[in-house]
Amino acid sequence: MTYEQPLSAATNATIRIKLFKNVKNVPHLRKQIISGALKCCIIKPNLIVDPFQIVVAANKALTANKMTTRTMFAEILFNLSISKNITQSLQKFGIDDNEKDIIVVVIDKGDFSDKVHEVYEQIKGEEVDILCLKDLTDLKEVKKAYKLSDTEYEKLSILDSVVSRIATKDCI
Amino acid sequence: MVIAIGFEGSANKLGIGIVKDGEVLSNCRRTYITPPGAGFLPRETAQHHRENILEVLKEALDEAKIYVKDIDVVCYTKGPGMGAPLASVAVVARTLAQLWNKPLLGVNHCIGHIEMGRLITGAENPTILYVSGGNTQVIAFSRNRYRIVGETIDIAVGNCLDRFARILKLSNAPSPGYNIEQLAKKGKKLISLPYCVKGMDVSFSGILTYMEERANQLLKDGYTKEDLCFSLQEHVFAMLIETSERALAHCNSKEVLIVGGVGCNERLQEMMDIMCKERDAKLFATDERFCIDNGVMIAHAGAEMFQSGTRMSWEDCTITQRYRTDAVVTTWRRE
Amino acid sequence: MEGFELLQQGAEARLYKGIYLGKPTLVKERFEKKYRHPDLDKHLTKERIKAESRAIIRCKSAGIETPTLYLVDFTKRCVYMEYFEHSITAKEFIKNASKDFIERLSYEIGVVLARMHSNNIIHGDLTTSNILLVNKSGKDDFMTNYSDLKVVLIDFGLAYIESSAEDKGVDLYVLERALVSIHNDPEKIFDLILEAYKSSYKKGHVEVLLKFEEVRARGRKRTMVG
Repeated sequence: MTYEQPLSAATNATIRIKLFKNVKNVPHLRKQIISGALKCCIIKPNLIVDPFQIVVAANKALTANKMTTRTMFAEILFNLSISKNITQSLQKFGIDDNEKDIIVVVIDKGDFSDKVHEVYEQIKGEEVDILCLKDLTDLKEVKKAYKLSDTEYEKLSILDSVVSRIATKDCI
Repeated sequence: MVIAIGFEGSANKLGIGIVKDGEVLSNCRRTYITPPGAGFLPRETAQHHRENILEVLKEALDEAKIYVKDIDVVCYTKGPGMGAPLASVAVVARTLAQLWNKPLLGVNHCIGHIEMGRLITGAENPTILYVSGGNTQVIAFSRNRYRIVGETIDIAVGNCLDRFARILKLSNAPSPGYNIEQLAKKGKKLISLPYCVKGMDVSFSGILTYMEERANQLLKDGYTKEDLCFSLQEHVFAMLIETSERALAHCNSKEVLIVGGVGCNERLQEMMDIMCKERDAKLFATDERFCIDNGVMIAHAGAEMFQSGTRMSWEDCTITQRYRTDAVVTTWRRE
Repeated sequence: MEGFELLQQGAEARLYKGIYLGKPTLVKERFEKKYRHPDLDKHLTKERIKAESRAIIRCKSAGIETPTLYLVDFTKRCVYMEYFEHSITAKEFIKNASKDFIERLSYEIGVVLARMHSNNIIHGDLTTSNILLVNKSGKDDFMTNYSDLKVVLIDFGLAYIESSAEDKGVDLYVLERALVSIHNDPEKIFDLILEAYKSSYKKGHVEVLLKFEEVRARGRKRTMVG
């Protein structure tokens, strides 16, 4: 149901990724995140190929010496994008008020296990198996967003190409 | 027992030396030094050699305390180098060989450096970094030749340094490289410069052009001449050490020998030593008597060739501006 | 490096293997070179890491299989990338595979190199140890079914982007030398590689092969200058 993965050993953190459909209180959740009251990252599903994509972006955020954005959660959204423009990145990968299906990401540093439930309680929607993500992915949009070439899109693993772009954003 | 006399004049150093079975009997030299800001050109350099060669010859013979009849072979630099200077010295060597009725051998300048380096330092089978005004090569001995494992794809490191010295109008006495070295010791700020290593090869024209275009502005911006010299050395030497290290790893060697005029530089030697210690290898280097072009190295390499049976006809005793190190079969050294 | 096993130590870097983010991972940790001024060392290492990453990404754009990158850490001078557990090097493969398989591999290498060079990517260290055959089904069988295998290029530590025919020629020359020094029938293999290279790199191959012949005739890696 939940996708869980320990991040880099030095971070002492585990990422937990859940998928929710038909969420009724998205505008409220957004306000809560911006105010800092809700400690999670909410991602639009259409540009996510596989939860591992989020793992790589989150791992990068947690292992970085210096963040570009102001919060860890904003940093995850920023890292998912190949753009160096923060606003653009947050808009592209984050949700807007009209979104019904959302990916909820929580970073558990061991001390957080109890608070995790608090996050999920706030979401007024139906939790589905994370595997259902593949039905929500828009591969054509992914190709555009990550500037994948036609050859690459046809021949290679899209997840591998996307993840590699996330990892090397600072190298280009 | 072979007594050899060697004549060297491929660039601005005129050297005549006499060696007997690996023992240096005399090593005499004159350097053609141009005013600050000017480089040496072939015609004037050849003129300098012609004007001084007989005096240097007498000096070499007197110092060695030998008679002409004791000499077994006359050796001269066949190449590589500048045409007119090479020719001016070769003519004298050929004439003397005929007058004295001695065999004549044309020696490869680079091999002269290598064999002299091996003789003086005792290095057995080193990876060789040969760096001078005219040459920059990383060399490894294999299958009877000194193989060029890496080299400059444009100008030699010494040439880069010399031309930089001209931009700063540094004195050419005793040599521009020496003066850059002294200033560099007092440099503090490191300027970021182009760094160009491609595999085992290096390129210096980029960093030189960069300096040519920006030196004046950098000096205005608050960097000193010392800072510029320091930065240039740190970059070009790092490039040389990097390619040497790759060659060392590739050839599985445990010894490094630095030869050629730029090899006198203490910072280069220090950097190479650090690299060698990290790889558990040993560094060998000579001092300015033998780093800088000299006649003894030609005599010694020639003696080795002679003793192993190499002979050259008069027709073969020409000079050539391009003469690759790996073109010579090392008859005196077999694998 | 905690939790990782040291695989290899070269002149430039150490290679470690382990599980990272749930995936088999190779970590390339570049050395600090103490002979260099520290600022220069930091700068160069960062540039090298960037160049290697760029070449890998560019290969993917060209449809060439390369390791997936997971994390680039400039401070620790490390790159974390995909480790291929069910793979062998082309070097090993050629020693043991059937004639037919070797022919198919040679042809495929030619096609891949053509694609690489037409995208102006210079590998810089093309040896048969830097070409992997990976079993797509996750089995350690490389001799039964060729279509189970895919060709992956690795070790882009000396790679750079360059359009010059000479650099591409040198790239091919390095591969030829590597084949000659290790394998028994290098000419046949290399001939097939070149054949595939020619038909796949329609426009560019002529100039590249001209330069390749020049470099080969001199018996050394670069056209002599000065």
